[in-house]
Amino acid sequence: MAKASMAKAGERRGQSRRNFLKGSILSATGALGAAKMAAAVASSTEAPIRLPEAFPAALNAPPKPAEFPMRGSQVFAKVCKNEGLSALFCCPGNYDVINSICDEGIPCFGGRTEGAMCAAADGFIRVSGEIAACSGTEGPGFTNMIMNIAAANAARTPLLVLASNKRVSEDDSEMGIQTAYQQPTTEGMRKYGKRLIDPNRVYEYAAYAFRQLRTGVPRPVHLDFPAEVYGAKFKDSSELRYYYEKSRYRTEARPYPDPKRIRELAAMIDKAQRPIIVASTGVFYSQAWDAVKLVAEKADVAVVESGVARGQFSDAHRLSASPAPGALLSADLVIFVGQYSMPNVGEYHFGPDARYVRIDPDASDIGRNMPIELGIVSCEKAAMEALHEAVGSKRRDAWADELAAERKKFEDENAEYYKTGLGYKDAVHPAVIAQQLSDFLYRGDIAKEQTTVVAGGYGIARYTRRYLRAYRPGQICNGAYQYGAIGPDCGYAFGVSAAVQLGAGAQAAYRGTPIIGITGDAGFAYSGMELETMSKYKMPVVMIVYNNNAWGIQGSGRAAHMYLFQENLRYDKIAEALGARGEYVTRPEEFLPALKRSYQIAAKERVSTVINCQAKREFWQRAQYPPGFLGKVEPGCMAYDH
Amino acid sequence: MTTKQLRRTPAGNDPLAVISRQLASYAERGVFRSFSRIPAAKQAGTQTGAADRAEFRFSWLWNLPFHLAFDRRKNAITFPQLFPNINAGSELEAELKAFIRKLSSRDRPEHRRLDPQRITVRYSKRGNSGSLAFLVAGNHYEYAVKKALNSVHEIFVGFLNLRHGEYMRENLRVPEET
Repeated sequence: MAKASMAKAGERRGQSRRNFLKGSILSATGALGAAKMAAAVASSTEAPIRLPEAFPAALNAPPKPAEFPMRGSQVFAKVCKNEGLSALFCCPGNYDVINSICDEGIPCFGGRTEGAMCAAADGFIRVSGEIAACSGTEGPGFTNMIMNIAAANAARTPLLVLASNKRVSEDDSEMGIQTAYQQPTTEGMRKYGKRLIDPNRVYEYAAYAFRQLRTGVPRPVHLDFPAEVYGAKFKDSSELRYYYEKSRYRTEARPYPDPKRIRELAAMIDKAQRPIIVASTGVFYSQAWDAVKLVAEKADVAVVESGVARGQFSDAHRLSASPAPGALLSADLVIFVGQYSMPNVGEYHFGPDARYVRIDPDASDIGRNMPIELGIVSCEKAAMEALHEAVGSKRRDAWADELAAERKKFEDENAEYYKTGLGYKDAVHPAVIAQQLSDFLYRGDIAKEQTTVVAGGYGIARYTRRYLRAYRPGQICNGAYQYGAIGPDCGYAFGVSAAVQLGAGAQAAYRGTPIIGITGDAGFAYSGMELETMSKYKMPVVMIVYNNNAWGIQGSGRAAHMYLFQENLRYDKIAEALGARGEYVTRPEEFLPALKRSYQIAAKERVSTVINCQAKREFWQRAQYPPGFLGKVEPGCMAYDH
Repeated sequence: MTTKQLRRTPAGNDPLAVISRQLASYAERGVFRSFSRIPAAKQAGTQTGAADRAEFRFSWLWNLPFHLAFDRRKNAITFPQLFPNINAGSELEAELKAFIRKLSSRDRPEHRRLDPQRITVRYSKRGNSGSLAFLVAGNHYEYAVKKALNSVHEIFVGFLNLRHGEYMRENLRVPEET
């Protein structure tokens, strides 16, 4: 994957919105004129969808890192580069900042809506573990991102949110357009936010941002750039009030656990008959997966996953409880590791006699919602490494046998649902999609670890999550997660695909492989335009759209019309119109061939496909179409809320 | 009677003391919230004397209110009206009864099974509401409380929530989407 960069970024620096729009309009007029001329020559021939020549030229242009004298935006971009910002996802606007980041050689991607690009950055981070940014223009571009900033916040994603902002000198004047007080908008959905107002502190606040992003429990960081800041000129570093190398403004040190408490935990594990580790979001971000495995194997501790991404502990492991929901009730000691979004009593399946231990970098959160017997303040990886040293070796064969039996029971139940689903011939039942997708990804010609999946959608996810498996870190991006947003899925898919194409972080070994995205017809409406972005950047994405002609929740009586769409809409044709492929699947037997074709074309030709799976809303009616809308068990492969 | 007062209940093998202590331990661990024993005067209409009956209230799964009664004469721990609006003969009721029957099945691991030598469970119906009664054999009160709570937990979390989410949302106000 070539690193993306914006065309002639340097030339656009300092460009006003008016000039930018003027240029765009002139180009569009020219294109329209050319289109009219072409139509006159061959009235029956449609003009093909194609990339402008400037696009690949820009993508392949070498970086142009800034040197002093620099502008404020360049100083900021320099910090981003030094901090290893992995990617930027944006729509035009905040021009100086995005162009400067692009010039530094950081991979940049331009999409169709700021909201979807924000989700793309979130998805990128959630499967790679690396930090990425999103950006929008002041006012509308920024506010378009709000839903997905909130989703990233609930997911505890270290997302850098950037936006331009009016001149400080124009405050309260409503001069021009796009006036907005942006910082208050993200209050409650970020870890740190700042509207930069003092130009010579731009470096200092960039340091603030990365200190917040790279330490403790992550959440989004939101920075606004008024013109006085991004446009300020600095002859050299002496004109910046604060200018240090990163080891001076933040530390790589991690909180280490109290040895006494680790010994206490080791003793609790020794006494327990059926201990279980809940490996959650913090295990992924601290890269504690190897240490978790060592602890589990040494003391025969089961492991179940929760959180924003899956694969910290392989579903194929004999101690995995992720696809064994029936085993959770048996656990007598539950060790939450990096469970940032805590469930309440009843939301997790564990029984009333289970004892709880929580390991978290943030002491102020330990004890929230769920009662604990022991709290350990620590980086997850450090705690797991210390526990591995302290815990005694032990075999718990009965517990391992129970896990195996419950995994089998779960698979048998899934197989039964599949058999039932296959019996519905006039539409595609979700169990058919889920089982055949699972067989294709994990039991066919593709290595089971290979494909990264965005497990989105609402009703369809109640099925697909039961059948999807994770065998390595970052293999599944768990949809919108706790915020429950419907709609970011195509955005996530774009960002996840970008991470895989770049081989970022946890995706390094799978660089260049296709990804699968799953969404519903309701969700597709919010971010489906990003099929154009996928096509433009040649992202190999197979997007499965579960089309049941309705929102996930169905209304009744006089209100029903508000919940219904027109039937048999063709999302595959939308994809085709945006430069991607479309597959239209209306019967169960058509799904697998369509999936195989799409995956192959994605792998060989780097073309995205939408597989429009025509279902029916009545599939959620249990009496009419058993098993109907399914419930879920958390934690484990079905986990979504926490 | 509050959790604190319950803790002062004299230790002993008296069934009511054992059950009170056992329930209070769940409250102390934070599994139950707002745990209290209902004063005899306010207990649901019954002909059983106050000394023979105790009732407790607490918030538990999804912060739902639960009501547990112990009847010394029947040696029964009861969750009255645990399942509101269950239609007689409905698919839900049939599945619920089957699920309850399986709680004693030898197919289940021993630690998850009700030992019929020590406890049996009965589903009953009054009006549109279903109740559960756990009949204690001998003096296995500690075991009975533990098993009764685990059974109710499993019925709610592993059965109703998994297979009958709509019932949970409509009748018990368990949050899904607003």
